Parts: sequence; C-alpha cells; structure tokens
Amino acid sequence: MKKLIELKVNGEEYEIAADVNRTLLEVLREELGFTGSKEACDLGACGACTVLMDGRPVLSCLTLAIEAQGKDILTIEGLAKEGELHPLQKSFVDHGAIQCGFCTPGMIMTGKALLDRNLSPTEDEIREAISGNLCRCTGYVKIIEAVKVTAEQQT
Amino acid sequence: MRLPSFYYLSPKSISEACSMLKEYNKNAKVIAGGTDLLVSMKQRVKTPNYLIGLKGISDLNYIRQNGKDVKIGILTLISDLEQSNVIKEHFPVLADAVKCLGSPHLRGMGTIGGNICLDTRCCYYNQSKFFRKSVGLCLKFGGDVCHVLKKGKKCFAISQADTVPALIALDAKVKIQSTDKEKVIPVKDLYYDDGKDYMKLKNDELITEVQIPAPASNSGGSYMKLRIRKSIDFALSAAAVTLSLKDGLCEEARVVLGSVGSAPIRVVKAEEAMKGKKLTNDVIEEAANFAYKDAKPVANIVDVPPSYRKEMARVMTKRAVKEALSRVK
Amino acid sequence: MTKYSVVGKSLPRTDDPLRATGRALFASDYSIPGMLFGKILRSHYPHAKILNIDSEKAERLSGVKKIITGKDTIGVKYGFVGLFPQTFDEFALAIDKVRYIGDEVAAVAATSEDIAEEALDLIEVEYEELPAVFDPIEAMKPGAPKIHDHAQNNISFMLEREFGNVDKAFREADYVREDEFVTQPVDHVPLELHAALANYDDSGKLTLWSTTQSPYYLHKQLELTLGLKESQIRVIKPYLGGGFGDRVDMSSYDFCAALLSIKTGKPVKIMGTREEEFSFSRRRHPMRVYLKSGAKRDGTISVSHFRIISDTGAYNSTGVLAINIPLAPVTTTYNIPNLKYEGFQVYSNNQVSGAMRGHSVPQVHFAIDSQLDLIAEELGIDPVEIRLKNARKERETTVLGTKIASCGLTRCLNRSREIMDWGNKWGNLKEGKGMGIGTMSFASGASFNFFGSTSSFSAATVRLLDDGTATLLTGASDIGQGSDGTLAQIAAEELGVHLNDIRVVSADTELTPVDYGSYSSRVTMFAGNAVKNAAADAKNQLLEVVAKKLEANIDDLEARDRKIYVKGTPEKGMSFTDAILATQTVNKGMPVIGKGFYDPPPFNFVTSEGDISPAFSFGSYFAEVEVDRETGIIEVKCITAAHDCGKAINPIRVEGQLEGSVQMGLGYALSEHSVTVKGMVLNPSFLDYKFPTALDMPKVTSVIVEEYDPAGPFGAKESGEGTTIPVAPAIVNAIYNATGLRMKELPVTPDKILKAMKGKKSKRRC
Ligand SMILES: Cc1cc2nc3c(=O)[nH]c(=O)nc-3n(C[C@H](O)[C@H](O)[C@H](O)COP(=O)(O)OP(=O)(O)OC[C@H]3O[C@@H](n4cnc5c(N)ncnc54)[C@H](O)[C@@H]3O)c2cc1C
Ligand code: SF4
Ligand code: FES
Ligand code: FES
Repeated sequence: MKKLIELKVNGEEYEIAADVNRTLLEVLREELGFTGSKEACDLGACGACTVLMDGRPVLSCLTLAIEAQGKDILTIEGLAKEGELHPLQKSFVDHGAIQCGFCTPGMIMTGKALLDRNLSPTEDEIREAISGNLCRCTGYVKIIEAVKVTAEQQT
Repeated sequence: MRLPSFYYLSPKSISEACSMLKEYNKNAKVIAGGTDLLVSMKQRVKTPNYLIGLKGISDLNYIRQNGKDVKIGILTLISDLEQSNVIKEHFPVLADAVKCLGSPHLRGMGTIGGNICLDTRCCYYNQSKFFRKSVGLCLKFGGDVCHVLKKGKKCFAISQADTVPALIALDAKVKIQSTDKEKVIPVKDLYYDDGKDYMKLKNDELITEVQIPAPASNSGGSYMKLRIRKSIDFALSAAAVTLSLKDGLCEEARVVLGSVGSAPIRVVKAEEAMKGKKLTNDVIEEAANFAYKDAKPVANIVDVPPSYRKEMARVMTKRAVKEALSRVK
Repeated sequence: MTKYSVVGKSLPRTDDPLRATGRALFASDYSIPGMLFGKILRSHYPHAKILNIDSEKAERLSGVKKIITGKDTIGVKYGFVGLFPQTFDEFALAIDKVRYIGDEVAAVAATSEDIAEEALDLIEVEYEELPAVFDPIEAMKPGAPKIHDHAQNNISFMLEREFGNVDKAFREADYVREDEFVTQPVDHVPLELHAALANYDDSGKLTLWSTTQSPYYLHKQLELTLGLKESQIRVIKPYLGGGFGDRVDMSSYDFCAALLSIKTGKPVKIMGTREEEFSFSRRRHPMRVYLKSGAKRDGTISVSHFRIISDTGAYNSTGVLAINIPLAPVTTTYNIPNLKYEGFQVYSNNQVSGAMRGHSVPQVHFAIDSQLDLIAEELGIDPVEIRLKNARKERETTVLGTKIASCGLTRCLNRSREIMDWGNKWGNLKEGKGMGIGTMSFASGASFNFFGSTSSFSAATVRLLDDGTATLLTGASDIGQGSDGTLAQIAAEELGVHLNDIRVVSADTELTPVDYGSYSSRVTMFAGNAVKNAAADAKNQLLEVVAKKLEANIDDLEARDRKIYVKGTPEKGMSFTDAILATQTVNKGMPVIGKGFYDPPPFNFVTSEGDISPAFSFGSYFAEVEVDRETGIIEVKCITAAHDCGKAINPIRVEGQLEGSVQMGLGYALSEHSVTVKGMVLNPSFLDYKFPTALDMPKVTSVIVEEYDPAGPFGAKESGEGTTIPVAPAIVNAIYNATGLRMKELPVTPDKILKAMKGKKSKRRC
C-alpha cells in the first residue's frame, strides 16, 4: 500500500509515494538517492545507517519512513557546505580514521551528534557514543582520535 | 531485509489506539520505538497486518515528580531516563539499567514501554525464516518441539529487558488502559513465567504510564548486568537490588534477577536472608546463594552454558547488593 | 633534505574526502534503470541429493523474470588453485548434491526484491537427505559419509614435508613436549555486505560491479563457469567496504547476477544479507594443531613436528593454500633446523572455509607461541629471552631455502619489551593481572602462481599528461587497506611529483593491467614494484630527452618536487610539465606511457622449496590483561604492537592495520565464534557474533620497525595480514600469566576460565 510521504532531508522537502513498510534507510537510498547512509546489518546492531533526526542519531534501518515525517533529517550528504568539508569530515580524512570508509558515514553522523551536545568530550565519552557503530578496519583508535581532535579545534 | 507489508494506523489518542487494537485483535501490534518490533518483523518472527503507531499520540513522553513519586510516560525514551537527574538521584537501580541497555543509538530510539513489553528471547527464536525452516518450528512458533530442551513441553525463552528487574525492585506499577477501563498493577504482575505467552496484557490493552513510588529514606539500589561486550549486548545474567537500612540493619530489600528465566525472578528468600540483619559479607553471600538457586537458565544464549549464567546470578546479586549498600543515603 | 619526498609520509588518499561525504559509491550503491533484483535459494540440508527442482509456481508469480538452477549452467566446477585441478570441486549452482546448509540451489530475478524473495518460497526442491558429517576427525574415519567422490577419507588436500633429521633431533633434545591446540571458526565480517550488479548488453559483453577483492581472479572464474571469452567480461571493483579474504573467491552473488543478466538481457543486482554473510560466505578455517617440539636446555628449539587438521567445509576453496601457507611462518619466525610438517585439509558438511587475514597462520602461531611459553617455563627461561634466542636473523636462509634479506624480529621484541616495562613488571604484577607475548612472520605476497597463468603477477602502467600529472593504472584492489594511496605514493616518489598529481584507476579488468588481487599481503610488494617500475619507465623516457636538452648525463639527473634537474644544482633543470611536453615533441606526439611488471622469485610448489615469498614481515605483540576471577571476564588493558613492515610507505596506514588487527585478534582470542551446530550457524548476526566495540578495545601502542628489504619498493614489506597473528597468543599467554590457566582452545570465553579454575587449583607462574 503506497502512501504519500513528506520528508525533510538536508534542508530540502521531498514528497514521494512509497509503501508504508519502507524504512527510512530504504527511502533515503533507493528513492532519494542518498546512498551515503549504509546498510550493514539492517537489524539495529551496527550503526552504519545512522542519520540525525532533529539532531539525534537514529538508526534509519529501524525507522519507518512514514514515522520520519515532520522531522529534520540530516544525512552524511548534508554535512559538507558549499564543497567545504565539515571539520569532523576533514578530521576523519586527516587522521587516518577512514580505511574502507563503509562505517564512516555512520561514525561521522554519530560523532557530530556527540559534538553538538558536548563540546569537549573525554575519550571515554567518545568511545561510549560510538559504541553502537561497528568498524572492522580501524580498531576505532583513529576514529576516536579524529573526534577528539575536532572537539579540541572547536573549543 | 524488507519489512513485510502492513497497514499503518496513526491514532491520535490512547482510546483510539485501544479501539483499533480491539478491532484488529491479534492482527495488530502497537509500535513505539520499533527497535524490537521491526527487527522481529524483518525476520518474519512477527507479521502483523496492522501497525498502530503510538508516536502520534501527544503527551506520552514525560518524567514527572508527584511529590516524591515519579510518573513516566510510556513513550519516554530510554536515553531520556538516562539523562534524567530525578532518576539518577532517586532511583539508581533504574539509572544503572538504562545506562547499559543496548547501544546509545538504541537508547535514543527505544522506549520504556517497548522495553517493558519486550518479547522473550531465544537463540532459536530471534532468527530468520531461513533458519527456522532449516531447524524446524519450535513451541514459541506453534511448533511441537523445543530445540533447547528436547523433551520440553513449555517454552523457556528468556526475559532480557533491562529495565524490568529494576522496575520490579522499585515496586513500580504500570497504568493500563483498554477500550473500557483503566487499571494500575504492579510491574511484577505483568508477566507469566512462560516463554511463549509471556505477558498478561489483553489484546486491547495498552500500557500508558509507569509509576514509581518514592524510595524509602536510607535506601540504595544497583543493577548489575553481565555481558560479553560493553555495548549492544543483552544481559547473560543480571540482578537488580534495592535495599533500605535502619540503624545499620537491612530493613527492606528487593532482589530481582534478569535473563535467567522467562520472567524476571524475584528472589524472596534472598530478601528475607538480608532483612533485619547487618549486611556483612557472609549475609550477602547467603543471599546471593538463594539467587543462584532460583536462577533457571537454559541453553538458549549462543555459546554461553546455562551453568555459567546461573553462577553469574550469584555474582551479579552479590555485587549489586554491595553496590546498593554503598549508595545508601 | 630527506631521502624521500612522498614515501614515508602519512598522507590521506586523494579520494578520502569522497568516503567522508558519502559520495564514494560502493557496489550496492550502484543501480541501472530497469534493473532486476536477484535472490538466491539455498539448501536447508547439510547433505542431500537434489532429486528435482520445480520452479513453475515461482515462475508464474507476477514480476518474476527468470529462475536459474544448476541445469541452466554449463556445469563446470570452479576452485581457487588451478595447479590442483581436483580442488576445483564447486558448482556455481548445485547440480548433483548440496553439501552444506546454504549451498546455492537456484536464483531468481524479479522486478523487485520483495517479489524475488516471495518467489524463493515458491520454488519446490525435492531432496534425498544424506548422512552428514561435521567434524573433520570423524570425516576422515572409514565409513564416514562421502562428501565428494574424488576425495578418499574426505581428505581434500594433504601435504607432508620433512626437513633436516627430525628423529635424530628429537632423540638428542634435552626436553620434548607435545600439545594440541584447537581454534574455532570465525568470520571476516567486512562491514559491507556482498553485492553484485551485472549488465549483459546487446553486444554480448558482461559488465559486473562486484564486492570482490580480486577482480582478475573473479574474471577468470567467470570465464570458466559461464563459458565466456576473456574479452566478453569486464569486472569492476568499486569502493569496497573491507574484504579480509572473504572476497577473494567468486561468490554466488557474482555468478548468479551474471547468469541472470545473460538470460534476461537486463541488468541484475543481488545483495546479500548479514545472515548470509555469517552463515554462508567463507569463514576462517577451524583447526586442530598438534605440535611436538624438542629443545636444548638453554632454550634452543631444535625440532618441531606439526600436524594440522583443518576443516575446509563443503568445498576446498583456498584450502590448498591454507595448508601450504603455514609452512612459511613455521620455518621463518624462528630458526628451527629440523621440521616435520603434516597438513590435512578435510571436507565436512559445514560452511566453506576460505582465506582470511593471515590465512591459517593465526591458528598455527597460536600453537607456536603458546608452546614456546610452556617450554620457557619448564626450562626456567624468560619468555622474551627464549624468543630472542630462537629468533630469525637477517641474511639467513630457512630450511625451505627461502632467503631472508631483512628481519626486525629482535628489534620488535626489544622495543615492545621496553615499552611495556617488561623487565620490572614481569613476575611482579598483582594477582589477576598478567602479561604475554605473541610473535609472527608473514609473507609479503606468496610466490605461488595459483592459476598457472602466463601473465606476470602484477603489472601497471603510468601515463603522463600535458599538465604534468600522471594517471596510474593498476589492477590492484583497494579494499580499505589503502593501496590506491600507497601505490600513488610510490608512483609520485618515483616520478618526482606530488601525491595529488597522481590519479589512480584501479581494479577494472577492462582498463587496468593484470594483477591477481588483494590477498596474501602481496599488494605493496608486488603491485608496488610493478608501479615503481612503470613510473621509472615513464620517467626514463623523460630523462632521456631532458638529458639531451640540458646536455647532462642521464645518470646525473634527479626528478623531485615536479622538477627534473642535475643533482646538486636544482637551477639546472626544467619543470616536470615541460619535460613531458619536450618528450612528446621529440617523439612526434607519442604519448609518454610507462609500463612495469613484477614477478616474484621462483618457488617450487611441488617440493616446497625456494623463495616462498620475496620478503617477510616480522612482529611481536605484548599484551597486558586483567582477569575478573569471579566472572571469568578478561579485560585486555593494553597491547603494544611492534611490526617490521620494511619501509613504511605511509606510517599512519601501517598503524591503522596494526590497530584494526588488534580488534580482529582480540575477538579471535576472546569472543568471536561462528557457533555451528550440525552445519547450522547459530549466531548469524551482529548482535550474537561478538565482534569488539569501541568500548572493548584496549589501549594500542603501535610501533613501526623499519627494516629495509631490497626486494620491496623503497624497501617496503607487508603490513596487512601478518599483523593479526600475534594478538591471540599474546592475550592467551597473558591469561596464563595472570591465572596459571593454560587455555589451548579459542575463544577463551569467561565460562571456560571459570571452568578451568574449578578444575585446577590455579598455580600462578613466577
Ligand atoms: C541490537 C539490539 C540490542 C538490544 N539490546 C538490548 C539490551 O541490551 N537490553 C534491552 O532491554 N533491550 C535491548 N534491545 C531491545 C530494544 O531496543 C529495547 O528493549 C527497547 O527498549 C524497546 O523499545 P521500543 O520502544 O523500541 O519497542 P518496540 O519495538 O516499539 O515495541 C516492543 C514491543 O512492545 C510492544 N509495546 C510497545 N509499547 C507498548 C505499550 N505502551 N503498550 C503495550 N505494548 C507495547 C510492541 O507492540 C512490541 O511488541 C536491543 C535491540 C537491538 C536491536
Ligand atoms: S525455549 Fe524452546 S520453545 Fe522457546 S523459543 Fe527457544 S527453542 Fe523455541
Ligand atoms: S544497518 Fe542499521 S544498524 Fe546496522
Ligand atoms: S573503515 Fe572499514 S568498517 Fe570502518
């Protein structure tokens, strides 16, 4: 059963007809072309699909698109402004926090949400915040460092 | 993994939601945070024809202090409880439980109501269609075998919701609404000790509020959860303890075990063993020993022998009592 | 001025910003208008004859476009190691039998994923169940169910070797001990799921975007199984979300997407699920390693006898290699003059095992390092000392005849000993705390030509552009390890330009020269040398012209920092751009294209003699752990990982490999286990398969030890796979130090600790 769904993604309004059983992740990737959000488990246990909804990190694979209406959705594609990387993105690039890059969008969105509410998180707070985001490449070391350095630069 | 198809209903009030539940009966499920239900639906463990979204109902997300009692709206997020000073200050056992539930993302999405109603879990149940077809349907799916206890006639899927033992240890109650009435019952009375039919909620009933009575003075609490990883994982064994002291002696105590039975297990003997006594190491050991005895884990967590989880019920209880004691104020 | 201007710097890949903005396209991100969606039907039985497949009902479902079964294939078996044709034992879609739960039986293409999924349920397969066997030891016994007709006692591959005089050495040893170690099946778990998008067009050309880590290999396997010509196929590896060995072999997604596209004439996309990943894609070989060693009183190990029984599962896949590869570290890490080696790769009705980071060496080194500690204790020698005593040294030759030009093992041991304050801490830690060591050596690319192919192992071209930049074409696959960046750094250094002057086109079998792929830690060594040679070839074309223009001797010229000039007099020279333009003018417009290739020194696969690899990495990891004696939970506090990777072309990426390896090794040691009961994986999810989160990681100190190796580009060696090897033994040895419990079976879960504690009044060492 298709329904008209209105979504606000990265500041733009979209209106699409989609089946009500579509998750936000599916709609972002398949209908709207925001393939930056990744599917790695589809069952809520890896964080690769993390987007921000009203500023908070949510797992888009466990969010019904229809229930994301009226929210401000920010995906990885909406982070860089006018070709300028967000400081966190830049920091991930510069500090070797990206290996294969598959967990990266989810990590960066989670990291952004953390930095938005906590200007200078401790290392433990960073670990805690990204503990729902799995990464198989980096051992998290450089990811933690990238978040930390960004925080230090901001303050 | 696609969700099965369903109709989505968006009631504007509790009573509307209840009538929808009544109308569609077993074919409908309410969805709160969706972090449990949607996983089950993707795995085709559940395939409701109707999903009734609760998020559209206003004013179900609150933590209110009423005198010293606290009322929690049923859509309150786990992360809101985690950040609440009221909870941290007065209900440390609950504060502990919400802090170690799932991962930060899940806490930011999951609700207290969803956690209270969390289905029982088993490594033969929380699996895909392919898996079930390969190993065969078990009792919880209406089949006629249990893969865990081959001769079992009853399902032993486990209750792994983290907040529930804590709420029971706090003597919390829930407000339940249905099409025609409203009632308030203790959280501990919500559950059958049965992995299959684990909850006493009727088809048209909704939980709308959690009520926690003011803690006694001189009381403390703690929730200890054992898990392999420090995030994401459910408990292998857990214990919630609250206690109050009077003149250096234990006046009241609650010991509730999680993840070692189909419902949270209240260990009354452990409570009795502590009451009226000074909580020395020996007394605590004795209480923990009762916890060990009451824990009834079966082999339904992958790679973790039940004997270990049973032993851990003792250790978690012991640690929770000690921690609660150190927090008494 | 330092020797190098680009090599040795921690520079990001030029396209890393794309990964940070979500713009990098991975295979599952691709779509083509009008494409169909595929799904694969798998066996529910571990072992059964296929009697009949009825897909009529499914075909009638609206939206279903095509269903393929084994009958639609050309019925050719494939495998990984062409030198052993009997190990080509797998049909891309089952024909006669299914041999494990998950074996592919049919595939559907439909207009949507949902319809394809629904169609699977409508395909009726009639099976005749056969007795199955799940334990390799049982499988080898007479009367066990026969899984493949050709394999006696279900032995898929076997290797027996003896070097030196083993019997004599055992007789003469002062001390002899035997132990058996058991390792569990674990999964690679790259974050990206399998995906394949195939497009067979009207010209008869098949293009496949795949999550492969070896496009050339996949290309060959598709030729074989589809009966197409080399020129009819193009395999493209887009951005890849990790591989770790899981993606070296052709997957059923690749094959089925391709065949469905051929049959329908439409693009077909198939994506895997996490469950399929855990339950049906390759896994690490579970092994039993029997190890008997003899030592002199002073701790010199004089002889070892290895007997390895490995469970390959239903098919051989890379099983030949899994048995051959350990020969290298077994003879290399320590200088053991007498060796007996017996390896058995055994079929079972389990999920198929395959290459995984370190390919069977983590299993074997777990045995080596555990036993070394046992011997050290028995002889009263410090664990570091016994390792130093036996450690391989540079300029030695192993019993296989492999020449070791460089070896930093001793330096690694000394550095990590210092950092961990071993001298003061060892033996003085509080109850429940302990330290341990693991070591390793690993090939920088195996010198086996698995395919018996005539092309070189790696080739590359470098094309210079009028604007002074270069396009590097390489078949090597960046699977996350960063080879696109590393190879670009090598090219930039050799050409004398900046990193961002190099654009890399890689891993596209239509465009890029042949390269076998990303496995056996070969990329920096093999592709790196090919790239360096290609760049040197292009540069030499410029130098010839520039030398004439400057009236200088070609040997006196230097290319650096976008200039070519006479060494020592930078004023006397010209810009790189001008040099390109001048060269093209002199050569009447002929483009400047450099070509290069690399072949390793010869190795005799039949006798196991020669240079099994051109160079070896070495390493030693020290772990500190704390054991909760009530819960058995082990907390790894810190790991110092010292690794000799030769010249570190990009140090931050080497560190990244070390850190990532610590996570993978930590899981291997303590929590990861693909629990399989009667062929069924019980924990096929991120929730139940315990791979460490950020909160579970210890503090990691990476120590890069650079022992220049003449074989490597700029002296570089491997640092991708070997890095995983020492983690588990270091942790397990530290557990012993903390508790006196010698754990010989992985993973060391908390319940095993408690059980072991109960079983024995724990004796604390030192
Ligand atoms: C990877 C992963 C790890 C997890 N780890 C943990 C963990 O460690 N501990 C833990 O406790 N949980 C864990 N969970 C489960 C889940 O996230 C939490 O239990 C969460 O609190 C559920 O809340 P929800 O709002 O998302 O529930 P939903 O999925 O929306 O609902 C769950 C069930 O409750 C019913 N329901 C919801 N609200 C009401 C109501 N008001 N009245 C009646 N019925 C209702 C629904 O119909 C459904 O059957 C995990 C989940 C995942 C995916
Ligand atoms: S305990 Fe038995 S019946 Fe219950 S879910 Fe598990 S296997 Fe099924
Ligand atoms: S894909 Fe959403 S949590 Fe893994
Ligand atoms: S960088 Fe590969 S999964 Fe994190």
